[in-house]
Amino acid sequence: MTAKLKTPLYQPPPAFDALWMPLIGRLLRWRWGRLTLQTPLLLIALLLIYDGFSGSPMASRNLATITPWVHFRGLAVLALLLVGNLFCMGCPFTIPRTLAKRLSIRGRRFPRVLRNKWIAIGTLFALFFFYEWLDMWASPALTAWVITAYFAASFVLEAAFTESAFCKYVCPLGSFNFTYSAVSPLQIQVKNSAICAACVGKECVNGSYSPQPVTLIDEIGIQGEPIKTHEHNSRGTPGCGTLLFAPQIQSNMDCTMCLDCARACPHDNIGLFGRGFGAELSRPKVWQNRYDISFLVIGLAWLGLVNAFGMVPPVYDLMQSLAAAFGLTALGLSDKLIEGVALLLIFMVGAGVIPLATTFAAAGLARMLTHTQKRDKLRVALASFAPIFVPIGLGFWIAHYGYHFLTGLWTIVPVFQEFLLNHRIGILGEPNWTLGGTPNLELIGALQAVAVVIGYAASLWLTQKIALRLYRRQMLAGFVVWALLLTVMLLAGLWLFSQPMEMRGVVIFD
Amino acid sequence: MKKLFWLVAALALASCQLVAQTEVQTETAIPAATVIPGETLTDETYLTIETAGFSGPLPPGETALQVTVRDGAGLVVEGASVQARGDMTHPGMTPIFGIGVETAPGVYRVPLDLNMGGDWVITIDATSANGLSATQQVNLQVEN
Ligand code: SF4
Ligand code: SF4
Ligand SMILES: [Cu+2]
Repeated sequence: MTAKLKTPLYQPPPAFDALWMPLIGRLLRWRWGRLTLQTPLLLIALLLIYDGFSGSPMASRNLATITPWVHFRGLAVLALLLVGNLFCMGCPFTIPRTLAKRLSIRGRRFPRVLRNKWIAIGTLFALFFFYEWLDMWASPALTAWVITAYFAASFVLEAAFTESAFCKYVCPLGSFNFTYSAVSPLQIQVKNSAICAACVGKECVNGSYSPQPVTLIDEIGIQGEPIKTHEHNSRGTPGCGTLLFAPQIQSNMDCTMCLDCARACPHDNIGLFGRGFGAELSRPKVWQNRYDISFLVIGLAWLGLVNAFGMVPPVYDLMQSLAAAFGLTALGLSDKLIEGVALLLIFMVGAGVIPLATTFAAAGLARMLTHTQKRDKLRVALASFAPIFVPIGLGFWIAHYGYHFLTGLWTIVPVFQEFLLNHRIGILGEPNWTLGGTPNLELIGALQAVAVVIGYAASLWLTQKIALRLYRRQMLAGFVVWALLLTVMLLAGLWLFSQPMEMRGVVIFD
Repeated sequence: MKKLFWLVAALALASCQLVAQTEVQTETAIPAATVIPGETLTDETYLTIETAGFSGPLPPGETALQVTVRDGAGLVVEGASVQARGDMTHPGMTPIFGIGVETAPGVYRVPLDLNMGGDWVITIDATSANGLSATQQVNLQVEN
């Protein structure tokens, strides 16, 4: 019998590092790893632009509308929940951007006043408003234009500025992904922060690229001779485009999962580590108590409600009464314009006034009830609880996008078959339009409710954790205030998703 | 600055297209006549389709279209094969199909199951016994 210790020596559990998974890990660490992911997505994007402009103008028979509005959105939210920010990782818009980077002469940094999330909040608001008003979902050509605009905007901003300004400050999709990757079970982290402290080049953020070879000395011997060196050269990789410094990363915010940092680090000190779902959300000051990030997160949860509200029958009644109340019909405006004004009002109230008013009120009330007015600024009282809007918000988005994804899952097959046939490629045969049959709307409805309730429950759990940390023995008062707001949102969500979907493009005002 | 200009220019271009798009979308029917290639448009060479059976928004569920098929001279066409396909304007919805049954000379009843609220585009195809055909699109709205 071999000798065994009664109590084994303590060993920290080995953390899961996605970069060391068999095969996939190798691919990810490989110099061209990201490009391998991006290339198929680039080809898909080009195909969508092509079909959007040249194919059927009917949205349900065009790849440009089906792919992004049915499949991409559904898959993106699921990936964020289950893996991480995979869509930024494979983002095709950044390929021409890399080209722009090479072309750009030493650019400037993005203007300091704009280095925050306010523009992104604006682009998100605008994207969802125009999506709803101009019925982007019903127009392949319009969708193709939006994809083209993404390519153009990311190219131009990359050419003009040194950092990846488009991803970090402008892109609405990226901002959505950054927000909800807070729940993802993977995060960039360093293996040993002592190595970072002694690291000379800080390549994770600076990059290891240099037009002429440069030698960096990592370690000097007793006689002053270099013991360990490494080189920067033209084969090096760029550092973090969104200027994150690996040993400081506590949150997935702004991380596009490009893995440039891992490739650039000369000490192989970076991993894509497993962590608990939503682990960062309960970390103190994870987003530095910033207003811009807080309102990105809070606003997105409400936008989730407003976006879904735009697709159920009561929105049309509300628009009618708004048009009547403000005398819009009497002004002789066109129906489309009236719809725009009414919709803008709904968006401004639902995704602007209500989130601002309720969160400031909740923060103020919680501060008062817990007697922390002197200790905490209103900003701190509010921003500390911003993370609680992530799970409930994601629940809304999953319920909505999951609905389209599940009801439309198979419809892409006949549309693709038709596309091939129209281009005289017969390998997939005649389009099978009835594939998948009629979706089971009861089951999907139940799943939607489950998504919303789980999101709400996770938010509540987070609320008590944050309240306990912030208010200690007074936590109950703080908890109740925020929990009440979450409950109102839950009820609104459940009511919304119990409504029949009714997607109307043409609204006639009387 | 120059780069910014191009960005603005690209966006402006995009918005022009965008406005044009929305205008196109609200237009309804496409011409109902199909001309046999190489032939001139005479009374004998085309069909027309008239539809009835809905005015204003419909409730969701089973409904039927009345389709009348006429030739160029305005006479009803008997024994034509009439088919309809309904697509929602929202992508990701399975299309519906209906086959016309002649209920009176030249008049066909096409059953359709409008299974969801929203905007629908119904495409009607008619083919006469002597091989002429016509297609017509009709937009309709289903309200819960
Ligand atoms: S992660 Fe790598 S490159 Fe960055 S500071 Fe640490 S050791 Fe240096
Ligand atoms: S380089 Fe920056 S954005 Fe890319 S994976 Fe590393 S931390 Fe994330
Ligand atoms: Cu929807």
